[in-house]
Amino acid sequence: MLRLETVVVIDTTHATPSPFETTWPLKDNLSPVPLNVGALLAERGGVYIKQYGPGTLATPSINGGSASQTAVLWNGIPIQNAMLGLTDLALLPLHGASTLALEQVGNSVTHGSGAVSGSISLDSDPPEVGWHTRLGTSVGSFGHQQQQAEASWANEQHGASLSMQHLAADNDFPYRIREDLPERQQSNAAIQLTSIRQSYFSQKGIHRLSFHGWQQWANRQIPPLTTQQRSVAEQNDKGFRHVLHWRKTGNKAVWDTRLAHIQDQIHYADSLAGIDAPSRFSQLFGQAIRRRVTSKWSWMTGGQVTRATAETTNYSAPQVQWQAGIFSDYTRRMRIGDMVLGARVTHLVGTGWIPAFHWQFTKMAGSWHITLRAGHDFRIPGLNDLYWIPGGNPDLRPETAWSQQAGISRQTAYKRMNWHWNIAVFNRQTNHWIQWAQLEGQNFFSATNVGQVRSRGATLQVKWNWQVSKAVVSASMMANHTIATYQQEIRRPYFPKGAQLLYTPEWLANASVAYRRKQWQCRYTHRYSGAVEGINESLADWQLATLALAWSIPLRQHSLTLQATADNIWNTSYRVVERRPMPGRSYQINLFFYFTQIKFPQQ
Amino acid sequence: MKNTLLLLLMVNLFNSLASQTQADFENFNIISPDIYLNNAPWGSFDAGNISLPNTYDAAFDYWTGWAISAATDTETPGFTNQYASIVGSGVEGSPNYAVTYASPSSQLLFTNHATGATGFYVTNSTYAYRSMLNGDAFAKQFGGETGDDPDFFLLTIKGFTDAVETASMVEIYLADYRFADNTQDYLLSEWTYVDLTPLGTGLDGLNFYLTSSDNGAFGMNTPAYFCMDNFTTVDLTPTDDRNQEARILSAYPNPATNQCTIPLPANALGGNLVVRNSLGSVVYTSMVSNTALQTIDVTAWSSGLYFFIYTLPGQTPYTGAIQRL
Repeated sequence: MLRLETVVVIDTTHATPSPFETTWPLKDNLSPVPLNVGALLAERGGVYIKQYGPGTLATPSINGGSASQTAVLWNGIPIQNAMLGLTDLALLPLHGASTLALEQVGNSVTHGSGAVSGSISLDSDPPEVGWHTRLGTSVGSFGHQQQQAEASWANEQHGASLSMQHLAADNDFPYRIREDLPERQQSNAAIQLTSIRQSYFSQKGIHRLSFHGWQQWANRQIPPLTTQQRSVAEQNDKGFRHVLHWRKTGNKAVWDTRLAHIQDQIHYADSLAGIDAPSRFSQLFGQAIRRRVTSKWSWMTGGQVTRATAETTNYSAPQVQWQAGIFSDYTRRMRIGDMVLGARVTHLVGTGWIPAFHWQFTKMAGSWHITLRAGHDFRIPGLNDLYWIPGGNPDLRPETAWSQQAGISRQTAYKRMNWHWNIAVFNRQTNHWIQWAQLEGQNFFSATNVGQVRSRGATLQVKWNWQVSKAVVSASMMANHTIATYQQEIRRPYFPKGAQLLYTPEWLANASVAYRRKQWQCRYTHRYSGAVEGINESLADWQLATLALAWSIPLRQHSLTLQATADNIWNTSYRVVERRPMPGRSYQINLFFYFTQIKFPQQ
Repeated sequence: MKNTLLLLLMVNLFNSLASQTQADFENFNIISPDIYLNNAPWGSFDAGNISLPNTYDAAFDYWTGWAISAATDTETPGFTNQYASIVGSGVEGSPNYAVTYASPSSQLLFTNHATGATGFYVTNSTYAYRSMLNGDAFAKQFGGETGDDPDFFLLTIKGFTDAVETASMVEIYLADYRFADNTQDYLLSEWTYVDLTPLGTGLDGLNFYLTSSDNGAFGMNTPAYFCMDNFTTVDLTPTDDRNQEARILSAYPNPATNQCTIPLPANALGGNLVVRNSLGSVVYTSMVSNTALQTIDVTAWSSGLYFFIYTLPGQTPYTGAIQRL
């Protein structure tokens, strides 16, 4: 057996990525991967994640958008809960997935409803040829423990993978309200998450059939607020998602057909208050897309049908929502650059037709990459907004948004150093913004189209790496400035005209430095969130730092990887959501243990 | 002499207020703690000489204004227990009482001959009490994270005539955590009498406002509920027409320490004699059938002013006052 040394390859010829998109590979065995999508985006994504506590509800705000204005896709299928209109990113574990992509631009033409401020895509690639197994376990502070097992097999024709994860944590961390007050301990915050994903691929010539299944069970206790003596509330989430994807690669075009079934069950219970609130949502999804690419143009056309059903004791009856849409995206490659025109029209039964379209111009000149984009996107109201009793409003109109973006990026290389920087600016005006509000003469809050919200801002990203002998030093920095304001006064809840949206920081930044040599890696990440306004009080800005160490030991064709992560190493006392303490003034150290076994097929 | 003048002044005042009617909500006759009335068929719950407006949305099973309850659960926190008083009953263990959801305010209308009120009993709802005591998912525990927040839950009552509020008002703290010494902080957990005489008479009704120190962008976080019982109105009866002579009885000795005799009209036996203290509580009641001289033992009464009313079916009542030294 010949042992090869690890070689770091840096791709400098790859086209500069879009200034609005970021992709993270998740199959790097050396780097510690955060627990879930929310944690990864919070740490590295430049996205504000409104997180209620470790393992609890986490929702994104991209460029001043609301959580429900972010499309979340899994293998091309939108998986937002149509009742809530959003996705809990804490319930999207990263195991079993190949890549996570963040698109910080509206794209309803491609993704449909909800892709107003951006989209998050979690995708699984076909497994590599051969047998691969990976076993992992981790332990950490506050009762954190995790077991993970992955296995995959593939030959040139077929492949299958299975990934299982069990996660448990007590989250009984100590915290202080004030230095002179006694220490408290978080209670009723334990979480249990079990997730199983499987994928099967069958490739025969021009056809590829793939199936993805994802079953998930989560039980999360709802911890008390700092202004609450006790909580016994808990929430059980069950998710079942299945996607069948058929791809036909012809001589002139590629066909993609997807059928999906998604089911979410949420059961909230608080025995203290006598609340028992089960809800159930399921969605059938069908989509067909044809792509044709030539040297001068590419053209994508498709159609999509969705049937969502939901029932809860807070609806007068089970609700059904039908929507169907057709869409097309045409790209023309010209001497001056690439021009993209896209359009979609969606028919929402009971509401009518909802249009979406975008225009994009991209110019690549040497190491420069310039993109201009304008679009019109939409979000269909969540079923709770429409039918919840009391307050649901069946007459709600979809949110629509006009947006303009511009981005410029450049990637350069000098000797053994590589630079990549990227500046993007955006402006978006959202009409018919949906907000629960109390109208004049009304005694309860109801879902209402309150008016316009305007979001504008800029994002700067800089990446640098330097290869020194057998080591690579890399650094990255991201800063985001977002102003998202109501364009008119709202009476109740009271927001004056020009007020920044709640839980939308004006400033967001992160920076990281990493050193990688052979099988060692050390990474320091620092992030900053500006102050935000909460419902009841203002929250101060905060800074957090994470230090991660990794060591991989080759064992013949196997490998053993040890990872250790220390979160919040400067003991910052902070809150992301008001009255919700986060682990502070206490060290949190995680240890990850991985074992990889690789078997190649007999030659 | 001074006491006598005071007594005469009070008697005249009482006479000008004329008779009183108490709304104790027992006319709804709810006997099960699991039953509540949150949907008034005619838009209001009427008891005594008051009308409590109620709106009910059948589509949402949602109500505002007033409800009538016999709930006894003083332990369960949260919205599901919104109809219970923290006492677990009405005043003095009576089963029925009124609950209001004052979002942002609630209203009481005087009916029949009522033009004002002497007072009523108030206490917290279990929902609001438990929320303030322990906090919940929306509202803070009073005192806040440190226990030192100067929190309060205040009920403000104003009278109105022709839809215009009068200047005077009455305030009562349903919870008060503003004391420097936290041991003095309190949540109202008993039926407490509220004197409404400062509001005067000649009113069409009362407005009730709840304010709290716990507010957010969506308004007040503290559950906007309180409970009411034994609401006593001041009524203008036909004999109170200014052209008619007032029917006043003079008790003796007055002031009194041991016994006091009320000389009833000899030709008006068969009525009901009721004596109330200044808070409106009944301290003596008697069906008069055989003697015109009613002698009452006042030894057990605490010092203060007491009002009596002698009512006969179909007749204008007789009124008077006793001062217990």
